[in-house]
Amino acid sequence: MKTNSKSNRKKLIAVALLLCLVLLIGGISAYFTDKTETLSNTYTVGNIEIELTEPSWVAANAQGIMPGDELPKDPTVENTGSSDAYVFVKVSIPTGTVDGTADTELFTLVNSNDQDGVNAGWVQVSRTAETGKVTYVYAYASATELTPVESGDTATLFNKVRFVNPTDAATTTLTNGSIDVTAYAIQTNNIPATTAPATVFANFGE
Amino acid sequence: MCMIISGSLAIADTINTIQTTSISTTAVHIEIEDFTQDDSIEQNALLLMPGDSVSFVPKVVNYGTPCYIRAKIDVKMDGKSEDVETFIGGISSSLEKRGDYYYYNNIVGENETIDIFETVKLPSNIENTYQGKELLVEVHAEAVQARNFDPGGQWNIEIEETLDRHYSISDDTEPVESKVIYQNETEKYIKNSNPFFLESVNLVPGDEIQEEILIENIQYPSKFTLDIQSKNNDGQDIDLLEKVMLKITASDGTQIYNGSIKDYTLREIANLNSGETKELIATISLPAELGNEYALKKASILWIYNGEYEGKENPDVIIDPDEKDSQNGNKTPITGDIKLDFYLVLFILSTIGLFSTIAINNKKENLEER
Repeated sequence: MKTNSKSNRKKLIAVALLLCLVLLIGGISAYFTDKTETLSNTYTVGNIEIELTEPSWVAANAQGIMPGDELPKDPTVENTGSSDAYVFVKVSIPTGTVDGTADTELFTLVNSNDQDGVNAGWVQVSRTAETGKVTYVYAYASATELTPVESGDTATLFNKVRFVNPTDAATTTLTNGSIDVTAYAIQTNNIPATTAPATVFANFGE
Repeated sequence: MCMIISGSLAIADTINTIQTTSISTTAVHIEIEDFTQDDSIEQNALLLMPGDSVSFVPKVVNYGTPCYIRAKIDVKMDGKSEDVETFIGGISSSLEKRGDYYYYNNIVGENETIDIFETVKLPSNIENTYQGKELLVEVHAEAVQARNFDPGGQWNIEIEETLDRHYSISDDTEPVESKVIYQNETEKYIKNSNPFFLESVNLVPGDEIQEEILIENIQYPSKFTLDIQSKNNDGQDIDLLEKVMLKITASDGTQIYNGSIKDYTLREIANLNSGETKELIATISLPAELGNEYALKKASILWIYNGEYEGKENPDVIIDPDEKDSQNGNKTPITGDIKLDFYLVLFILSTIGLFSTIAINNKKENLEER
């Protein structure tokens, strides 16, 4: 019985192999075909890269400043990327109580003409007052449209800051604080220059 | 002597029909071409910013036999594969994505062109991490013969490049050769489909063509044979004849031949009494397992019918087929029989012998009378 079983198994395997062979032979088919060369194009995704510096800033000068002092501070944005960019700068100014007025900004921005305010070519986008500070956002733009900063170009928001000069020390509270400056840039492609600066700045998720 | 003379009257005559058939294979040949308009590309178009869309219009042109086409589009960012449809715009609505390929579901005819896509784009919401990276877009197309191929699903076949990238089916204007020469009014006996195997050109694997051969024996008991020879012209691809299959069957199902054309040897196809007919079906086929190595092959074959019968009283004059073919420069082999000449000489010699015997007898009788 064992021998029969082995013999049957061998026969079964042989039949299965034969069937496989038949299926293989029967299944072979080729066709006239063709394959083209490969067309290829290479692109580079542009990059937006900026660098924020303050060439005139000397950290030691900021120690022990006196009311009314002016400090050189010139936040400058350089477009170090490969593409033109729209540039924004956010400045946070610390606040305190001055001559009895709470939440008074402790520093005033001074432009290159020694006038209060930012340099020409910048427009204010927003002003946000928070506890202990006021935050401004500026766009490099004219009154009507954003101005691209080309690759390699720079734009300076202001040149100095002037410390507040209170008249009544009894009603003035000055605390230590810092002026924080942050720069932002975004591509000019596919963003019309006439787009409202606030709309464009919203892309940064601020 | 009398026996010999009466035998020579019952001569065997021959009737011949010579016919040439062209057999050729076609090829699948497509090219991919960039139809991007130069003036649509800005100077720095290769530098993409989010939201940019630049023109890149690959199209596939079919220069060969009607075929099915599929295209593969690869998008890589710094060597890493990306989702195609995120970066490619205007993909033809006629293309259906199945697996890694975009399939064109209709047959693409000769000289027809199909679009693949229109633009390369960078999504406006793409992350900053893509900045400065290299975006590579590659596209190629593949094609397979339309006849005898099921285009459904993903093609599970090996696609090979055609062996002749200069082939254009529209330039393949060589006339199809398919002629029938009837000798001695033999159209009374053998009636082929006319034209015979005219469609045996531009074959692709899996093709099968059938024609009918009708033999009507209206006068004498006859035996008909068929020989097939390759036409010995320059530029013939005899190896094609090794692969082209021929099957000849009678209407009653009797198989007369089934094998390659090259291996065919002369054989009897009918043996009929007067008034009998026989219908044959000849099938030429190109096996499905052949690949591109058998594309663009050409060969011609001669179908040589020969009929022999006995009892015909006034044998017709055989026309040398070379005389007919010499007008158009073709040379076909003469397959006529030389039996007639042999019996004629025998008849003349017998007649001379008979008259000589009579003359000698007469002379002997005259001498005896004297």
